[in-house]
Amino acid sequence: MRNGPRPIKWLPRLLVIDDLFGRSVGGGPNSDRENLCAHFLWKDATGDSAACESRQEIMEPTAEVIFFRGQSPIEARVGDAIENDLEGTLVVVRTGWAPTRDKNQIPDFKLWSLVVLDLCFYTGRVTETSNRQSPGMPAGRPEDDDWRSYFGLTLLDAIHREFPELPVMILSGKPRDEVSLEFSKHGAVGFIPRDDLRGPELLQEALQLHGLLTDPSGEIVGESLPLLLALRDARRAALHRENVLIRGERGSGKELVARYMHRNSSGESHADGAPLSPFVIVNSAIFSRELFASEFFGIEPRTATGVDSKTGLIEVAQGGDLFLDEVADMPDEVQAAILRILQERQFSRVGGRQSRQANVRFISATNAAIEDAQAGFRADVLDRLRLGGIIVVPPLRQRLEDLPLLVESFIREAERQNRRARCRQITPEALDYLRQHDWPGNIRELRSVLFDAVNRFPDVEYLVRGHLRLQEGVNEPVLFHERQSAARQERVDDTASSKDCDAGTLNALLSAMEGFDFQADAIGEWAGRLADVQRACSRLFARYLKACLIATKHRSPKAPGGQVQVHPAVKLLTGEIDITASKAADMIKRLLGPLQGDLQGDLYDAYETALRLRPKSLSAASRKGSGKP
Amino acid sequence: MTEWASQRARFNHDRLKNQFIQSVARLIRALEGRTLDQEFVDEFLSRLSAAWSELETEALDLLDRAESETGPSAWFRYYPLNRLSNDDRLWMEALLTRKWRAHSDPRATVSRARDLLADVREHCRKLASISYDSRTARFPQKEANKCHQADVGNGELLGSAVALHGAGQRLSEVFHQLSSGDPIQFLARTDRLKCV
Repeated sequence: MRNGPRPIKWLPRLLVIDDLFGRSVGGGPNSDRENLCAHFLWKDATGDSAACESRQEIMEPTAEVIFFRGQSPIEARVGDAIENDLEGTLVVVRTGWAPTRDKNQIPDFKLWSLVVLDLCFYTGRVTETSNRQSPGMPAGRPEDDDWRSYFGLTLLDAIHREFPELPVMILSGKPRDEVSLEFSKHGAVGFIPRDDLRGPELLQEALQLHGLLTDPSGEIVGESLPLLLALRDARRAALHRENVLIRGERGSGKELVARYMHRNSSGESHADGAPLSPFVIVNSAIFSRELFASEFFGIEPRTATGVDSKTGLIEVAQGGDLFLDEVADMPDEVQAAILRILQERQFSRVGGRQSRQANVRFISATNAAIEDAQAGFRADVLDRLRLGGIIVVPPLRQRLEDLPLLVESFIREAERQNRRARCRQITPEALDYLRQHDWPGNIRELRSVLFDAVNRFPDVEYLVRGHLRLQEGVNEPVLFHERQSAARQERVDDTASSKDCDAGTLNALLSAMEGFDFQADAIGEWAGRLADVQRACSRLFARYLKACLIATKHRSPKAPGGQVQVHPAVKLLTGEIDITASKAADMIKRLLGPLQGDLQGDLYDAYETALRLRPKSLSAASRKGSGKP
Repeated sequence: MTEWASQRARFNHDRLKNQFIQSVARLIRALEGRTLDQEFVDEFLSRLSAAWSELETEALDLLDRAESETGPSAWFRYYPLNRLSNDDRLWMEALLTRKWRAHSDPRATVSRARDLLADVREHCRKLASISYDSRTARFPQKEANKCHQADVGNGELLGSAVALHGAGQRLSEVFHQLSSGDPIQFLARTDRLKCV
């Protein structure tokens, strides 16, 4: 995940949907658009004639912008009719929002950082007068300018429905108080008045808070949606001083995200933008209770005993952040000792009586199921460590579209460190080979594989598949298609009588169930069989889950048959990539609970894992819901 | 929406806010040195007086008709209130007019708009004059028609442009206040005020 500065400054990409600024004007520049770009310091990247003919140069652009009219035709002459184009606009939004994409097919692909939307879109015919006042603009209809029927709100609804994670900002000439209820209700994240001279600053604030942005320092490499969502969470958490918990698998880059959060915190900074406040790293597992107190809180000097004073880590981190790595491994006694400082933000040095104020934010990190009672972590400490939120760092297998960038970055880093190494490229086959791997060790594992390859083969111009050693002692990863065929094989063996399922069969099944009706006049044939119907549904759910469990099994030399993974399986089942591990465990318990006595194999393993992760929550929740004691 | 209301909305939203004020913002960015846009700066400053004069004519025309075109007297000339029976129209117009007068003073708003129009005109004149002075100071003879604001009088020019931008915004706000909306919007607004 580490590399040097990026060669080209990464600019956030915005999509501006606006009739006036999005239109093309007779092959020449659109002066209205030029005005807006100058005002907000945007680089027009639309690529249409209006952008190409522009005469201005923005010295330090804050974003690159694609303009779209939201209507058709994009260019109009006197007599032409202009109509709003909802579907066409959604097609344009989709071009910057493909959840799974092949970078090779779309080399210039970049996610929208933010959509900027106008409210009022004028429709109707372009008349001589309207064309004279604004070339290509229609005369407008009364309902266009009615807040109850703004096309911008229709668009906002549609965008929010299809792309709930995509932030939409309103940029309008309308007074905010006139429209604020409407746009907020429809899911916009904010409003920028178009004529405000502080436009670039207001937009920058909005981007920091809501935009999907890469790490400009280049320390965290990647442009995938799961990563950008995690970075956005980190920036939002950086705005306050509450403690934050970072979760993520080993090697996924939790410490880098903590550093990113620290860098994005407000306060005084160095000339290069790095904060002046300290960032102190502590490995939670290394302290015994005795060592912890003196290291953490420091020691008060005692002349009589000859004990020298010692500044504790809390004081070193004063005004900044203390990063508690591997917090789940913190010994019990240390957890008890840390509670006071978390609760009261006060501490005393060892041997001292004076209570000192601690202005420190704790950023903790773990890859363990820390909420699990069996993990033995104190709930009161945990609650205080995650008061300011939880940031989930995605594993590499969920952000494989970042692989080319990461590979490039690590190869260059390895070459810089090995004086004998030649500058090389990776072949497409080798990249595909890496793409097929599961990456249980995440970014750290990828880095090791590439460093290993560069160090063993310093004198080559190409990195090929044969150079890559993916796992210790294993030169052949389990490929995804092999896993799929294994899953298919297991399913056939296991449920020989069942139908093999594809999307068509599933749709047919769903439609049959939706349309199935119980005729009252044939009551004798179906009455009293609720338990059978429930059981059949439960078995169907279980088979659906089982297929997902098999497809997401983790295979390793130790477990060549594969090991069930509850969390990825539920993600596959639900399509929700952000679902938390505890919610996934709850779902498994809900689906398999009715069959618990009959469970075998993978389903049994999954149910046991879910119970381990969430031993009580479901029953507690159901008690709460039912109102029973 | 009445024809006048539609013209007012297009004038305020499109011509004043989206075009005139935005082009002043573009000038400001160029004068700040955040964009390279000399061709635009030259063109804008040379056309400023004429461009504003055109806008002002349109604004004055709207203001001349504002008092008769805003509020109940206009609402009853258009659908759906023009479909009312005479009896209904009598009591409803009297009621709405009473409420309208209690909450709006279009004459004062129009008067304020006229003052602000004069204010913008003055800022335009001042900007053009500073621009001319800076050109002649830098290029006293034949190159006087070329603008080089970055060298001479840039700070003053920028200050003047920012002032013009502010005046434009204030004018736009007053033109917004002239929007009487429709009877339902008006009643909803007055009811909200009552609640407050």
